[in-house]
Amino acid sequence: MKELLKEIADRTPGWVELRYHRRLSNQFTVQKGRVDVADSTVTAGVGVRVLENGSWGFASTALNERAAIEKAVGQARDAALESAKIRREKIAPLPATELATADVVLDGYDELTDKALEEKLEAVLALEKDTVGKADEIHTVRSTYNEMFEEKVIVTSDGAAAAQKLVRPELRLAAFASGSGDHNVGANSLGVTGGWNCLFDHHRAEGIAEATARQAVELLGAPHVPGGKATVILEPSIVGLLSHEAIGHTVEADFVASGSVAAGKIGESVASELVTLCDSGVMEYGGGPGGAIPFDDEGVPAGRTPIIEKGKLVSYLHNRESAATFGVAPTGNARAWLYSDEPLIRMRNTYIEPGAQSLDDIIASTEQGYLIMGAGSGQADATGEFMFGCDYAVEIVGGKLGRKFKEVTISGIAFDVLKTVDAVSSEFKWDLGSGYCGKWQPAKVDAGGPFLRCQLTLGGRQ
Amino acid sequence: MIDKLREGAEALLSEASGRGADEAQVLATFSEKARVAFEKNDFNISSAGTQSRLSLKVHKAKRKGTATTNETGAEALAGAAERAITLAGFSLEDEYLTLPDPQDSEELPGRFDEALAGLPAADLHGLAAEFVAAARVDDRISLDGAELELRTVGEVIANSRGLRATDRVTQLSWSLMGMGKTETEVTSFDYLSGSTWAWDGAPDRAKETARALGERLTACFGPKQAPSYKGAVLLSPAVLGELIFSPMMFHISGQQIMDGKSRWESALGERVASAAFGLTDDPFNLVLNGATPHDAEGVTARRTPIIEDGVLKTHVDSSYTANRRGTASTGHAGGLHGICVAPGDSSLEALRADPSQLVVVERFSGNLDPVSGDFSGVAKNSHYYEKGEYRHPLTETMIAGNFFEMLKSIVGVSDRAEPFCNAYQAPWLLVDGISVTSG
Repeated sequence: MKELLKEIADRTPGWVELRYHRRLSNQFTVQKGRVDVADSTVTAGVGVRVLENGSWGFASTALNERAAIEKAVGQARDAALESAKIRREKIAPLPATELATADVVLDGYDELTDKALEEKLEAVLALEKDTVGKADEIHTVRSTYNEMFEEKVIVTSDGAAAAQKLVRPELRLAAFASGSGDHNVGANSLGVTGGWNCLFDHHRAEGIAEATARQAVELLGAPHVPGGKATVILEPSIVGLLSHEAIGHTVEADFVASGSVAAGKIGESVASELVTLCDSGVMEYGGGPGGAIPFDDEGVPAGRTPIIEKGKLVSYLHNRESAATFGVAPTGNARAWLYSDEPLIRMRNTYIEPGAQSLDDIIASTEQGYLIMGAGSGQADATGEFMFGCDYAVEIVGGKLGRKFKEVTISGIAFDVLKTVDAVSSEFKWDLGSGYCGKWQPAKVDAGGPFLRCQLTLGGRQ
Repeated sequence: MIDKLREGAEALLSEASGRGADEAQVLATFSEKARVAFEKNDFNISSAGTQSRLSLKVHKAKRKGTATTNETGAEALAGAAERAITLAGFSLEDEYLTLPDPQDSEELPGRFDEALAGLPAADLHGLAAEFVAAARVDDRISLDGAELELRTVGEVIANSRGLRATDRVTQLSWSLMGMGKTETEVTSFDYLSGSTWAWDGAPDRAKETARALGERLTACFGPKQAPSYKGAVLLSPAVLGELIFSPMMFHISGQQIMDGKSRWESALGERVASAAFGLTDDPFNLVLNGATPHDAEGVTARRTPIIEDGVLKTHVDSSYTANRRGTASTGHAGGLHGICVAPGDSSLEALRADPSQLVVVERFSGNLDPVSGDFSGVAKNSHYYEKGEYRHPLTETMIAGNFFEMLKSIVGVSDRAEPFCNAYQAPWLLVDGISVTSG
């Protein structure tokens, strides 16, 4: 496929990017002892992007053959020429940059390819059965395994000619419990870029049935947290969510150019000096984070990008076009969900670097507050205001953990909250590897970090 | 287009049968689309393309497997059939697996427009320019993204029992996301979308959506926090999808009932909401983008009252959940089609006039647990009133409550049901007992 794409790129006048992408997704969902989903889906094709008359054009084809791809090139050029008529500012030719030329197969691809689907289903069934048996209050358990085999070839007319194969398995477990006139759900999920062993080496995999069942049952009848401003210790999954949703999106260069709260703040102090926040395509801290990519969908190698260094905003996240506009090097953040999607600026693995204190010391030095556990869904907007749902909160009084409160929502203005950070733990965990980011199209991402103490608002009852 | 889809569907059924499937169902779709996208306050990219998709479900020895491919060649179809049969081979036995029998379906006219299907690219780009200009009448409006997409879609559903259903539509959809921005202030972002089946009137509707977003954003400059209180909030149609419809669909779903997760399993005929509240699923409401003649497995769709005068009238089922529960499919494989909430008898002004403190919620950024019904989140792009008088837009203000309690605490319903993003049609709801917490 790479040779075919190179031939077509060589024969195409102007700048062209050709991206072959084949995804094989297999999924099993088991619930109440039955198999709800046993599915295998293949999506494959070639996406073509051109830069013509200072405007982008895009087309795609599911037919992976010369004539169909060349036809798509023609459609993309026509689209670009049409939109060039109404585009106000023409895009300058993309500056030369380092582009990938290697063929890469990430760890786990072959291992998971060789593992029989039947064994994977057996594991899901066993997990469901195990969790149901943990407590009488649990009436339903849903267990899901999903794996995405990604195969890509990127060729551009200015030098990218690279291929990558990687696989991202995910595991989800939810236990539904009833009792004491209350209903509750305990849920855990994990995802990695890697094989079966990598998935089950994840910190959430160990004792997942017990942890999920316990969460479902222990929070039955638990009170809601009182609303208001509070001192909190956020666990790594929530620190990851904060890094991704509340900071990461505001520093995506397309969002910056539209006027996000991070615009014009490079070099400014935006957080406590204890905070260093990065987005990375490589696998720092091990464990196969779920958003790892060797190079992005423009063929730019995907390295580590510090966004905040010791409290100062130092970089935005870029594709080739925005990097040229801002006069910096691209950061390898151009990603497309399917062959039929054009690449957008997206995050990969976003995290806050660990600090020096232990979690125990941070708890012990907290007079009054909450330990917030379990990231749910989260949203943030242009102002940096965020809202995250969390599984539960544990009260801290006099440096000791106490009562549990269920269904907690936290909120604040991201940069303001990061300025209140006064403790960062030395422990580090990737913990959003089963997550997907939504921005016109999905993207597979991960996020994580240490435990972190700060001040924010708890959304609770009056 | 439809003939080719039929051929593909029959070929895939044949592949499944040849590999020993006892029963099989195919959903085949084809779409042709053109899209103009806007980013960073300028045009960004135009795209064009076609997509096919063939999804196969097989039952073999009472075991299920499914496979999907976007490739249409014989080899790809054979591969999909093989994968589905393989999965069924080691799946678990389920005696309730079933497929629907042939239906007396009729077409739902009014969703295919030759003018839209043949719309020249220049016209789509011209509308895109007007669309974006309509949103940016105020130079404080900054658009992060906007797009118009024109799709022509064909669909064939076929199963081994002889069911055959076809559909084809044209659809022009538009969406935009932006924020208000000055030298010193950035507002919360907001998002609106819309769609139509025909070109006639489409430009005006698209521009109306764009103007509405601009107005919503310019109203959000200078926000302050509301005082914390427990009491009334006014829910705009925009927030009902998340706070009302999503948990409601969970609890009326046959799937959730058979799994023991619904709290409305035994609530048929009981009052689950204030008497002022009524909701119908109307698959034939052409204002809504879910309008359809049949559900996802080809069963004829029908107008279905869900809640009348606050009383729960029905649960909804697919063929499988109905078989498992010993009832009949209601034509809801894939969910509800067109949610329509009945209007009430109060003007919007009257609803705002009564409460001493009132948060008017225009967007909800938060979480709702459908099992417990508890919700909590930030009231975005929202506004604060006292004794009927407008005070200011809101920031850092959260609302929290419970879906089940909130349904029974609806104290007012506005007299106009408005389509929101062409996804559903609903009035404004005044609800009591909600916790408002300022940061």
